[in-house]
Amino acid sequence: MDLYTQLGEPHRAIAALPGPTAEDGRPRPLTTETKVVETTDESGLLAAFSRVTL
Amino acid sequence: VTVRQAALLIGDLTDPHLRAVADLLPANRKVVLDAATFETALVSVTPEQTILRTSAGDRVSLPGSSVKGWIRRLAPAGWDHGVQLGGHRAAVLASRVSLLAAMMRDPSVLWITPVDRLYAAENKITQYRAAATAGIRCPSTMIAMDRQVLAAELGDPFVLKPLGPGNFEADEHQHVVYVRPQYAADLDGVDLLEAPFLAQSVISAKKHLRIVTVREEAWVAELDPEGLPLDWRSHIPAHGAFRAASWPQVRASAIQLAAELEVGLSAQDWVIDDDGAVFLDLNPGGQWLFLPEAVSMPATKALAGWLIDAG
Repeated sequence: MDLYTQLGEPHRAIAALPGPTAEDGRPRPLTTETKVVETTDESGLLAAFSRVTL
Repeated sequence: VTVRQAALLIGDLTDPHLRAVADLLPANRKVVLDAATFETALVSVTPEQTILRTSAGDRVSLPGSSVKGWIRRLAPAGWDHGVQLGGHRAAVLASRVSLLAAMMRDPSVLWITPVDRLYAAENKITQYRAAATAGIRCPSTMIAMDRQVLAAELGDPFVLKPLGPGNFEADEHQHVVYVRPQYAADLDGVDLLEAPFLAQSVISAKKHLRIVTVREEAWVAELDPEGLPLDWRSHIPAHGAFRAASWPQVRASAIQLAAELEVGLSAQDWVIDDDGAVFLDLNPGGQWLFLPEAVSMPATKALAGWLIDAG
């Protein structure tokens, strides 16, 4: 077993917030009402695919 | 009309950070594009010249116009979701990223952080090397195959942080790896090098700090750790509980570290323990809008101001 399997957990931050996710599947934008740090965005400077391509 | 000066923003206007900065720039002085959307702003590229279009429809010439740039995101989150490496869709996306890379490596653009510095600075080992060079205190850190070696070196429990992405999709759900104390005994059967993580000593935080740096400026927000898990990101109310703070020495160190890593913009996490300030993590594409306005507003304005400043 690898450490992602051991330590990864469902992203509660998004799950706990009200409102729909955009229809195109993108994460819902931050608004003044949801001033949270998006942990799935925080490390997303380069999408996984882009990392390979660059 | 070809404008003399413009800001080139790599990202997506649905992203709040990009939007916040873009909103401070006049339409005829900004170009917004990313790998998913460059059709809206790209006119042509030759080895000698790139022609872009501002949000107002004016032309920007590289070289020719004076252009400063900020790379926020190469593509929206999820853009490459489910794409099979080696497949047709992957070839399409690769060609788009390659064109974007050519633009990002245009020597006539002055970037707040160049793409290759961004890439390098994301690596935590690289960050700790830079911190060591700058004389900045960091947690004891080790990568090793044997958990008993980690426990002997770092104490038991220790914490584990991914060297790779902090999130991934599994079973059709986003998963996040939060930092929490981990006992060696709980890692029975885990291959510690299959997906290498950093192991670090546990630090007893008296304060959590997030510091936003924009070139030679920085703004500090602090968070009280009482009642919070080790990783405050896993506790939603903590995100809104930061207060603007003054830690002049830490602020100066954060600016020094960003300079060492050659990143013009960074979001840094530090903690204060009984012995002083400890640098934890730097994100060259990190977030600041969740912080109090006294921190977020000047950071946004400083970035926008640099982008639009012809100097």
